[in-house]
Amino acid sequence: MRFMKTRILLVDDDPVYTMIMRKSLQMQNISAHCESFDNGLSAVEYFRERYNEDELNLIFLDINMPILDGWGFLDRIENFASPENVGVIVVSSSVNEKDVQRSKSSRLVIDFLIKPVLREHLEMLSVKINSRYSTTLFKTRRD
Amino acid sequence: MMIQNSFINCDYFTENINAGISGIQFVLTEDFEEAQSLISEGREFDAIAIDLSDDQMKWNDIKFQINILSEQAPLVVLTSERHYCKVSEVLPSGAAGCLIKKTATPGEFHNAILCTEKLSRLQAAKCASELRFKQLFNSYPTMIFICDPETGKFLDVNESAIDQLGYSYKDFLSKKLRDLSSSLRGKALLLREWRSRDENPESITQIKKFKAKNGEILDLQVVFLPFSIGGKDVDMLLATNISSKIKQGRIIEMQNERFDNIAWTQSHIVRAPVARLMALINIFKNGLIEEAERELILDNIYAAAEEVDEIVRGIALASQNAREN
Repeated sequence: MRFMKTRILLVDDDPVYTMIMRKSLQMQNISAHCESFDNGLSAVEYFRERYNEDELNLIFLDINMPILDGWGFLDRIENFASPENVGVIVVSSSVNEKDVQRSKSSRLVIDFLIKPVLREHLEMLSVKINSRYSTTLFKTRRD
Repeated sequence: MMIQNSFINCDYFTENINAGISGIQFVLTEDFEEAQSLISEGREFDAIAIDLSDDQMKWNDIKFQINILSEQAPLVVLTSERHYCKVSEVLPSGAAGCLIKKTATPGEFHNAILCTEKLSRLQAAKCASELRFKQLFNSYPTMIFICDPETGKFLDVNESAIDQLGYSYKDFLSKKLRDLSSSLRGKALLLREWRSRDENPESITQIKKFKAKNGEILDLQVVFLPFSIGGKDVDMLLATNISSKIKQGRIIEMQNERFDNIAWTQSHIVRAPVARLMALINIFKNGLIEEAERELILDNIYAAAEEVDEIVRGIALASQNAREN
């Protein structure tokens, strides 16, 4: 593993969904540090302060949030974050193709998951993350 | 019809002719525009006499006017000795006779009309072609404006322009392009403006706002075409009213905006609690919860179901209100 540490950010204004995501990630047996935020602005401020190129940052990002939405969050971290060590997974209830296309325009977004995020979705995501960042952070069925 | 066209009174001439030939009824007009207006109203004349003895005459305009008038009836031009040669130069061959106003006798006037009439018949074929053009000009559904390229003054318009903009033929002849469209000028002025801004003078199709007589502002797509009438360069403008197309485009844009709003509401507002419900049930089913969390999860399931119910009721009410309003 080439990263010294892995940080996971859950950015969603729905506390129930944050709890569900935490439980689902637990199921994947990940040991990463996990922080949650209920709006984009507090997540940007936290992330900017702690951003370190030696750490892998995985951000599960909702779109529709108060104060600063998911698109605003992405715009702000684009200025300093690198796709080498930052992967954003958009997690939204939206089934609108426009949202999917818009998320693809960001160099940091690695996937778009439509809520509810089920075990099989996370397993597919695990394969993608392990291969992209040469890590075994997520335990897949093959592991 | 007698077109005075100057401040010099023609009473002496008309009295002189009336004294020699009985039964001639003169209709006096002050200028070319008034004469054109009478003709466009359907008035018919056996002959037209135009006085060209004023020192202040603009010869290019006169050439154009004579061409137009000679199509309507036998045309006799009255002038002074001083201007005789100049007037002869601008007369279309065989379409008009020329007399010295001061010395013309009733007999000469009569002969000039007969002679012009005879020669006019020889040009019937040419006139028929021009008539066909005129008919086409007037029946063409697109608005056509003939304008002076320097001043933008309207020289002729077709019936479609009169019908669609509501101005009479006389109204048009008294106006310039900029009176109806504040930013539109004659092509010569436009070309000068374009050159001063290094813009491409070839792109002469423009969408401009025109003011109709009833005050309505219309969006017209205007195409400039180079044209020549009687040797004089004029601007021919073809204009199509695209107001309704633009309006329809705006309605479609508004509809699309509404559809986008509906899609956003369904995705982010309606689907959010539904997705939460599905996720909660999923973790319940997969046994991911401890006994202590069981009550909390069930409360959240119920709350999510209530949220869906509230949203659906809200949408139904909003839809009912929209229909009633």
